[in-house]
Amino acid sequence: MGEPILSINNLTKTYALGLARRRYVKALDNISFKINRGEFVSLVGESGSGKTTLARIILRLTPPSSGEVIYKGKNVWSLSDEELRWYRKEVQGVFQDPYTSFNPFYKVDRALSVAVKKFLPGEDEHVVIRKVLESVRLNPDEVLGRYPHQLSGGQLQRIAIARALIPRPELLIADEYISMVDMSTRVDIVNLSRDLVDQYKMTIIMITHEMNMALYATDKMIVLFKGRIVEYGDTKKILKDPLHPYTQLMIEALPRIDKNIERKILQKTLDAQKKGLTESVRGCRFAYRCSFATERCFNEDPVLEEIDKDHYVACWLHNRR
Amino acid sequence: MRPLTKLIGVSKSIRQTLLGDLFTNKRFVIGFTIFLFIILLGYVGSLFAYPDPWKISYYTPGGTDRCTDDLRYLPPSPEHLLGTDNNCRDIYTWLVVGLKNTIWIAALAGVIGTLIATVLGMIAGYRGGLLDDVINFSANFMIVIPMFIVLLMIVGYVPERLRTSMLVAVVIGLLSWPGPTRVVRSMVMQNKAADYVDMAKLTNFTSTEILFKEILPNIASYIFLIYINSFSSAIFTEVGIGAIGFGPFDAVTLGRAFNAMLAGGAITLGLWWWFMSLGLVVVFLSYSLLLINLGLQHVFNPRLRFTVYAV
Amino acid sequence: MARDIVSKAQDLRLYYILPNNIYVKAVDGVNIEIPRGGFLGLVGESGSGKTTLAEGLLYLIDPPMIKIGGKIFYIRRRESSSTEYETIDLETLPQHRLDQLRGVELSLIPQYAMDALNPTMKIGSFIKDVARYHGRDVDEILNRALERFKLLGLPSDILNRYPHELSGGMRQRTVVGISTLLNPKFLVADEPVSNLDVVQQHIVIDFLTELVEKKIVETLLMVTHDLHLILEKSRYLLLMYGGHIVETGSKEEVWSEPLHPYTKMFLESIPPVGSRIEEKKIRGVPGNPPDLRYPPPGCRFHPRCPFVMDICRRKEPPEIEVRPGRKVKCWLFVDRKV
Repeated sequence: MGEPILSINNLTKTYALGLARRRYVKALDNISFKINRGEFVSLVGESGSGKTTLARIILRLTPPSSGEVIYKGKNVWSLSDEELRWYRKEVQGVFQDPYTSFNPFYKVDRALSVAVKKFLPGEDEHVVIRKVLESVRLNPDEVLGRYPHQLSGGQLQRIAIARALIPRPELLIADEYISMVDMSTRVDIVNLSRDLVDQYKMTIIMITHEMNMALYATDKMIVLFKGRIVEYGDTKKILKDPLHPYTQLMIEALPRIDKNIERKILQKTLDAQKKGLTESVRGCRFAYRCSFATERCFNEDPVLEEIDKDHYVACWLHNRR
Repeated sequence: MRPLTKLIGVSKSIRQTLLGDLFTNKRFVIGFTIFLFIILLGYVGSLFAYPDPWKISYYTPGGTDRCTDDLRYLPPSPEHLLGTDNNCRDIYTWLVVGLKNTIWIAALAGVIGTLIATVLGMIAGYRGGLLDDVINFSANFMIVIPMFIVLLMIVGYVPERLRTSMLVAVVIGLLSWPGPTRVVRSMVMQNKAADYVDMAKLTNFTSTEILFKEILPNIASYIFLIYINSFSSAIFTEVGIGAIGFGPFDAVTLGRAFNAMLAGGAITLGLWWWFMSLGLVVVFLSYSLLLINLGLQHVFNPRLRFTVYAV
Repeated sequence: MARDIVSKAQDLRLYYILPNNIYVKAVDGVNIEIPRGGFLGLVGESGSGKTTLAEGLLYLIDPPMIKIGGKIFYIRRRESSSTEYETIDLETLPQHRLDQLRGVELSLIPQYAMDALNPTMKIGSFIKDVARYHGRDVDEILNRALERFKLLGLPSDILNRYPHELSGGMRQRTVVGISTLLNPKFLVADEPVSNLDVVQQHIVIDFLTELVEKKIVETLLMVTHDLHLILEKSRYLLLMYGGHIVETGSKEEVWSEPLHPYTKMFLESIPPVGSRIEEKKIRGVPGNPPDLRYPPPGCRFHPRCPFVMDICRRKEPPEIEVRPGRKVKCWLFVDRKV
């Protein structure tokens, strides 16, 4: 664990929707956090949390409305052309749907060889490709020469990771990269990611809605709800003592085989949901669903505070101010 | 989409199976065969025609340069397979040479139209912004205007001696871009949103590289479809303007043959071999192009592709 | 006994025909009996054929799906009496009888339910149509819909809304609700909670469970790839792999003593809450799902099975009935008493 490699400062992304573009939606609302080198970090959130927007902003695909993304001291959104080329070698991404990540017109080989040509000019393509496929535990002879539709989701996703590894990036953003892979093989991809972090000192941000995978393998966890960070810190600490009701909810909701598991928070949330309260514009975004919400929650925006070493939460239940 | 895609993985690679599927599709094959036959009729048939359609018929007793009543309106005979017209010219020659010329005019017009549509569509779809707004607006604007009238106006304005086949081909091509451009534009926009375009960006691809290496191959088959459409509509456009006398002046085209047929009184005089031959050629042309279109639709439309037709 | 079983498939083969006459063998020789009553699970991953089997049981066989062979039975109470049951071969049923059964006795919550609503109709109008088509009192059905929508956490003005006014999660819950309106006896739910957030998932599962507990729906068969999710609520499971049913049994039996290697490995591939990778690495099932166009010879699972024997590669294993209702399709269990 080293120094911060990525800093997100007050990042906001607003979309204007509706016919006359009059409705505004804040996909990300003043997000700030730091990621250290060599960490396996999970960004946990459901749809609407802003996680994919965050991934796209870090990967320099969609611009933020305000705020900064600082990578190794440089502001990612004000890089020169040459610096951008450098950035692309340093930071890579893997997306959710392996079948659309590869151009169906070409064989998968092409995606890999193109990456070699662009990032490692002069190196022997075949050697690099074989090595990188082996590092993601694929047999090159089984997958080379095939079109994307001829391979399984799991295989394709590993090839996508392989492609991302070609420039030897230091930071990998994996956006829901297991959600379209068979359930019985998802853990192997997470295990592989853990190995990459441990062996090559890579930093991986795993964006997922699957809390149990995040709890199982990652060092740090960031919990996102409707564009805001609600809890953030050391994963084991969060597992032992989840502070934010939303985090508690997500952990409680996980399927368990032992019967008679009481889901108190879930039950209260369901009741709150059925009451049909609508989201409040001010205050905590989760309040309308929260079984512990107080009046303060509906009126004042909670702020991310360090409650314990390496454990931050934004919730009036815990904040000391 | 049907769970089928989950069972076998996403739709098949375009390059691999489209061509194969195309040629097993009954409608496409029948249409394509008929169409091929008609083209051959034009080109090969021209080999057997008289070298000069304008000349008075060659095989007349004594040979002559003047058109006399005994050489006019002759019924079909070995020397004149479809007889002669009111100017003592060989109808068969006019038919096949006309067919040949119309086909190449339409082919050229199709190329011009499709090329413009592809370039403009790619620029508009990929760049977006002001350029897109301008192109899109112009296309939408021109679509509403009946191109046929505009075509007539342009072609009619040009003096006869300048009204060449080349000019007609170019004008038809230039006027046919709005519809196809919108199609190409929307296809480019769809592709642009695909994940593999983002992956290309992550791989340091320039915009030009993305456009030509990632997007273009995926829309190539559809551009082919567009070409077929442009080609077919150009054929009938030419026949249309030619039939009313606004076709090319320097050559015999199908349209012109129609014009001659109508002006020559074929129908009133009951010279069925004259109007039937022309009519049947156009009917079969339409029919074959329709079948080709249906076949192409069946193969290209992912939903239709998986239905089993009772042919 | 007839009354213990609600649906039966005998040597069922359902294939898809693709252009170029390629067959996708989605259901390739399946013999199952779906027990009557309660919350049941049909579990399988991609390339298992579970959706095809589920549709087949309801006789929803449309091109390009075709029935190559086998029979599909539905067992129901005779109209008048409540103790006599009749077994109907669904293939022999005339279309109008089949239509009568659909919605009323047999119902399906389709996969991608959120896209199943008619975009040009308000929810309320659609429900009225459903009621009228089945000759029911419109008001009764509408009231029932409102009740159920409330349980599903949907807003009270939902009847007046168009599908596009609702979020994906809300549409999904709406379709779930509508599929239950005629109180079907046998309800098949195909991945009803896949695209929902955790809270909505529980809302829907609790809703369906309640309907089953109150015997409003007699038998609920949930088709899913999420084995752990369904282990919680179900009482009986059928596991599918590569077009075959590889194991069946009660929830307790499957959980405590999984027989088929696939079941075992699948169960162990999900990290339990609280497990950490540095303490114990969880392993997934190695390899890839089979291509149903060209399934592997012998046992469909053999390329991925750690216990593979020579015979597994050559011959398809028989179905061993260990106990009534407890079956496994694996060579490991031939000549072995469990």
